[in-house]
Amino acid sequence: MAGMGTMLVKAVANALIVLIVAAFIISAIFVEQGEQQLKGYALELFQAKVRQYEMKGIKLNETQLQQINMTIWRDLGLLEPKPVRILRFALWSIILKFDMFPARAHYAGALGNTAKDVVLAALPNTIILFTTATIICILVGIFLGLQTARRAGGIADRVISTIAMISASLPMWWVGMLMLLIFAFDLGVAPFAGIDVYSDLAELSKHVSGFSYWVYSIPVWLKYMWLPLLTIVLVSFGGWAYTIRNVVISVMTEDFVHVARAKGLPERTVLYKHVLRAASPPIVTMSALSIVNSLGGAIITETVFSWPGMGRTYWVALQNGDTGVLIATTFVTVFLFVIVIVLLDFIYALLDPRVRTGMAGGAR
Amino acid sequence: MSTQIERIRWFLGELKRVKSGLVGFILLFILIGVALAFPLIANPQDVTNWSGHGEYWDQKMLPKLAPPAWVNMFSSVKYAITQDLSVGASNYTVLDMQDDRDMLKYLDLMNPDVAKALRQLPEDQRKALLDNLRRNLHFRYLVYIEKGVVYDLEADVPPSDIIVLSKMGPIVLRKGLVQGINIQLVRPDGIALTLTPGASHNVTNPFNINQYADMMSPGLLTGLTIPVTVNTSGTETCKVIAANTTWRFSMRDYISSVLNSRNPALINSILGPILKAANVSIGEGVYIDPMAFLMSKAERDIVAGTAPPLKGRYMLYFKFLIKVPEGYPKPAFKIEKAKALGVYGLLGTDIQGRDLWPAFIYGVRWALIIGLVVSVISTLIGVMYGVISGYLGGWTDIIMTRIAQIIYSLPVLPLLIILAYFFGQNIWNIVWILIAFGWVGLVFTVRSMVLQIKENLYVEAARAIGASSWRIIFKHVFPQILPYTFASIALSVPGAILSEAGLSFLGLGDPSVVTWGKILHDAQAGNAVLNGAWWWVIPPGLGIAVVGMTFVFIGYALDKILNPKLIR
Repeated sequence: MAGMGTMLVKAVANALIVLIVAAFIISAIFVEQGEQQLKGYALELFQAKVRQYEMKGIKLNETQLQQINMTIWRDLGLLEPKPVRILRFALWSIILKFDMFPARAHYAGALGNTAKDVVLAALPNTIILFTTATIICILVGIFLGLQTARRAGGIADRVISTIAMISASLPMWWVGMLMLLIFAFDLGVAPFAGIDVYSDLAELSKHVSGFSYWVYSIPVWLKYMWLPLLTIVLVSFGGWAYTIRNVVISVMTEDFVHVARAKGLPERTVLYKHVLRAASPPIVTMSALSIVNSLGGAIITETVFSWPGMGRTYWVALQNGDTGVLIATTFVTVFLFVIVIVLLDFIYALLDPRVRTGMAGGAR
Repeated sequence: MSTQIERIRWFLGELKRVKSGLVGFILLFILIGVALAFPLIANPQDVTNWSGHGEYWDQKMLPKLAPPAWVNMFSSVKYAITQDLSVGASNYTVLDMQDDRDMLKYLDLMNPDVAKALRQLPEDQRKALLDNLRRNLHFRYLVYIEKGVVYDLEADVPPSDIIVLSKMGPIVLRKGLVQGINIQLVRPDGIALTLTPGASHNVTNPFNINQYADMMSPGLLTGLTIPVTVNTSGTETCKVIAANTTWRFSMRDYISSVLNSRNPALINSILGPILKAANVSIGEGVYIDPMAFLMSKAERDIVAGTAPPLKGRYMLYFKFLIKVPEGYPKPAFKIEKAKALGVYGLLGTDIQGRDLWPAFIYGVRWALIIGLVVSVISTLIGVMYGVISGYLGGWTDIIMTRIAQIIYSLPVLPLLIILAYFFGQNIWNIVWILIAFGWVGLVFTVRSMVLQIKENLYVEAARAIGASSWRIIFKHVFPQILPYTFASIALSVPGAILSEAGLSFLGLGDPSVVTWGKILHDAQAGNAVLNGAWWWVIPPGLGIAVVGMTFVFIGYALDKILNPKLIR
């Protein structure tokens, strides 16, 4: 198991390096370009403070005002030289301390008005949508991949390859718009905006509470989720099936498969026990890449469906020039992404006996 | 030279065997042809005036959110098409009140008995009486203007609007000087609607003011959207319709404003004839589609909008009775353009009334430019990086690979969004940003290829005779990697186009450049999906998909032909 420990340490170290680099890139851009917004925020805070004193009837002189302003600037880190600010901001990002940034626009579901609250409200929704979509894709992909690999060159195989080719060049979010046109506009069987889930839930909470609220909220979520989910699966499953097919085909030419067949094992057992087992590590790696790719498409897909996740938050933040929320959302997405990669590296290690026993060096 | 030609011939021969590749190349040629022929296929002005030039599109008077004209080919219900209307009846009569015969004519119309009595009087007596009458008139000329627009309804669905663009004026609006406007719609079934009702319906004499709506009556000109300026000359302040005033009359907007007025008397006086013929009445708060109401058969279902269309010739008359005081110029009314709005063009229009066809065709250009520039440059960078890293080896290799790995592990889109947000106001900035993240994927494959090539004997031989590293890289290593490079250039095009489209969709693109992503951004912002405007959503996405697929096909074909080892 020594190999696994090393493996894990390496994966985490890699992830940390990537996170630090990303944090620095984002911080550098933000400190350079986002300074104006932060200064504006400082002014707002200053005016609010002064108003507070005025309400109490305290009259402040010039030096006191100066002092208040200075305190605010120091708290926001505006007094320090740029490199220090970049460093500080990168550090804040890495420890996910985003309460310093105000959220200017209104974000559905957010409990407060800092970037942190916005992200905390949006993140779970993205994860709900994603995990479900990914699981469905993996299952469909494995099934179709194995079937097509078994009869490589057959009709099913060619259809899947074509679907994979086509869906590689389809914008997922555009397919989402088409789905909305068909299912929401024409057939009227799906809601237009996922954001309305909150009003439905609010309605529900008037009638039930506690555990039964939790149970009853599941169909509500499903009502708003099924169309985006279907879209993601529809656009992604071809690619999944195709890559899994390729991996399986290359595994099937290996000796142990011939041995298994020669032993007279039924094809089903050979396929699902021997081949799939051997093919699982590369499948995991490809899953990682696939998730990575679809994460991008899904940011925009969420926008199309007005799904109250990170993607829609991006849209709202961009429309309103909400730099703080934008930075926080970006970094959290990067963070999420890197964590997924580390997790998959770890799973890879668990699955691949060579890595587990320290025979091979790297994960990729 | 001959070997080059042979190579090309060999390549073409191979290409014939790889069907998808052939399809890809044919598509590519078509796309390049469309991109080059854009000025011939569509009007380039439309694209240069795409954003921020509202007046350009206002002038074109296109319908908003209109489906393409070819929907009629697939639909059993025919939609009215957008068309220019001809100006039919025209009349311009001036009565000069200083002229006795004109004055008598005026009196003939206004008060026949008096006119008759006057005619029987001797010349000098009549003159004196006429002069007396003149003193009570506050005008010199009485001008009657009539213009008519013809519309033939042949479709099952009436047009969404009829717009008449005209130049009019000058008309001075003064208290005590009653001047009239009368807009009349005569339907094929003979029902005549007075859109601007006056005191009386049943007057046929054009000089009788009673059939006109008084132009001074409150809200009338505002409702008709006739621009009025206030003129202060000396002590007198009066409202004036200035000379050459542009008036855009929208039948739909006008009737809507009438229906929304919640004034049953007004609604009845305008739409009464139809309601009477159909023997129905309009209930409180019932939504009525104005155009469908005006152009349907007068039957019970007309209020619900389900009555069958009334096909045939419609006449829309504009009549004015203007009084011109002494010393003022005579008014003019000229219809510049009249249009019925319905389905339009090859791809319909968007919510701002912009023709989508030129924008869609223009999109091919930017898709190809962005796709090719990003993929060529980033592939070249990636290959060079991989070659250098693999060939030099040692610490250089370790550091370069490490850097590439870190960049490779960054999620592209969120960072692209941040970069484009701060730097993306220009399309070329976006291209550079895409290149900055696009080159890394290749590095690892190229590097491992180079590691293999490096071990070949001829490379060792070249090194032994003292060839420099750069010479070996360009002479021996690079040519081996070239075929792979071509394939990966083609395969990385879709990604670049998708990324640009995604950024544009989020509103981060170049605001002055029309790309497919931008059209889709406008569609999203303009609620195209909520309005069912499929013609706004489908073409740009399809364009992205077709260009992407073209290069995927080409890429796979190149891979098969140039890298025979990969064929399983």
